[in-house]
Amino acid sequence: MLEEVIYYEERGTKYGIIAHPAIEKKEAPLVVFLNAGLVNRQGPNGIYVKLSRDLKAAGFASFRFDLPGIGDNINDSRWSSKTQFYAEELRSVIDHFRAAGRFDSFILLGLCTGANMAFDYALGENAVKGICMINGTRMPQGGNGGRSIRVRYYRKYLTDIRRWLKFLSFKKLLRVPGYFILVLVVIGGKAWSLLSGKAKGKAAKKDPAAGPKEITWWPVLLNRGVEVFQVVSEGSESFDCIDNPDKRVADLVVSRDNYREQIIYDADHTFTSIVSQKALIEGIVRWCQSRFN
Amino acid sequence: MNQQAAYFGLHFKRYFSLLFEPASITSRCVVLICNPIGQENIRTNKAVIHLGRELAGQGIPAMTFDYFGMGDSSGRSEDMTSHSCLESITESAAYLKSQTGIDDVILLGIRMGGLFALGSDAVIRPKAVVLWHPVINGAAYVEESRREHRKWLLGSFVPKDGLFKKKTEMLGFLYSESFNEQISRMRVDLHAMNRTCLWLGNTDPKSMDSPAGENKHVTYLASAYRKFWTKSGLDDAIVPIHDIRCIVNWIKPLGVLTPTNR
Repeated sequence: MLEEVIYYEERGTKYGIIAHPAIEKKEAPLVVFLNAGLVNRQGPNGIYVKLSRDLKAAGFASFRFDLPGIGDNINDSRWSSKTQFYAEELRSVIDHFRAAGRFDSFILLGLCTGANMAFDYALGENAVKGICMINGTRMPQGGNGGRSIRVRYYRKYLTDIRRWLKFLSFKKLLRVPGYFILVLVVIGGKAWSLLSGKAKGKAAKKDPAAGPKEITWWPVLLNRGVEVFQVVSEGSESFDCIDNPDKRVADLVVSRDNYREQIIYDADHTFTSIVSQKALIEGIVRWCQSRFN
Repeated sequence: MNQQAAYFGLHFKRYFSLLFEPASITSRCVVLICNPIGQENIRTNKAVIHLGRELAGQGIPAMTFDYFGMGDSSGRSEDMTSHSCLESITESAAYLKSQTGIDDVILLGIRMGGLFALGSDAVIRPKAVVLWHPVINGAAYVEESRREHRKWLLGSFVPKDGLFKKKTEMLGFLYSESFNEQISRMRVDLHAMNRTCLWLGNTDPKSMDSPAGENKHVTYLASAYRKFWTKSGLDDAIVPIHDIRCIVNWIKPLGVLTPTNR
């Protein structure tokens, strides 16, 4: 079992866990995991740990740690702007491994907010040779976020009697009267906005086509030769970005050689089912092997 | 306060540990925190870290660890057995003693960790036991976990036939059927408990249909939180700070250093 604790700060208070293969490949990049939301370095359902061990078996070293304020890393009193301090923390990690002469290149891997952070950080760091973004695409979103998930869900299970029974049982409505009133208000509001045409306007407002900032960042990253792997699950809001991409995305991003994507069906946002975890892990390991071997 | 992360144990069975070392030790006891398993383990992580830091802040060394097959320790969840969990506690207690030079251990178990802590009581012979929202009945726990998983499944994108058949999948973690059977046979039995014990939860042991309620060694304190280890309720906190302070205040007098025992 080749896993060890690495302290990456001079003061020796911040640490993470490196999993390295028995024989490290020369020039192979280090895979750095970034926290998914507020979940600690194990990742949702422990998938970062499982993934790091499979990467290790495939010959790739990986490092998992906690960003400030998450998991074990609460030694830090810097709270004012977490985006900036997250980036500083990640820089400390990368600088540590470069200074130690162990790794010169890195793959950033994150789920949800971790994916977005991987993208943002890679824009300004030449040592990052690849990013793996899971359910966080930094792309304009087709459809209408939460609503399109619900539509997909109900379309998928239209003929499933068990789910209809669950839906029709109104258990939650009966348990909490306040919730019942809230549902009535929401349904009424939705009906009103649909009838008065406000919903269309709202959807248009949500459409990031109005702000193409992120679209312009993609060519910067891809022109630098950074390998990108996008993974989205059927139960995630990011699904629409890949399944039904914006035309500009298709032109600027999807056609590029160093861009790959994978959709995992029958999976929720955090890959709770073991089958979906296996599909995710296999996909990422295969991508690492094909692009960095 | 210093937070010291390390691996210990043999090459094929290594445990991840996190030791909270006080700036100056003012207690003759150390606290070993036994975590829950599975999804609850992830959900309680923040509470455990805060608990360890609060204890260390009061001069009491504390340590948390991952069971074999959980978290950052070696092994996979499907390889876990009740024996491996009890062994993880025993090994961790020995490591904690060797690191601090203090022999009096207080076992603090959260959820399933409470049952495991009681299971290792005879081997470790702790000075006291703290049970924080312990699982009372292993069989009920397994059934509840399965129910939660089925409930999640019904509202998810995962089809029912996409599941593993032989092993039991519970909210993101895979366990062997034998592990579930072993857990199902475990049950809180405070009857024979002859150690000081704090029970912090929503179920008063006196109300349980068991002789455990008669045990004068057991102190019951009502928890201010219902289910902080799940995300099912709106009133659930990730860091149940009131409970943490209750525990620290209860443990503190147990290890007070006096001029005679210093």
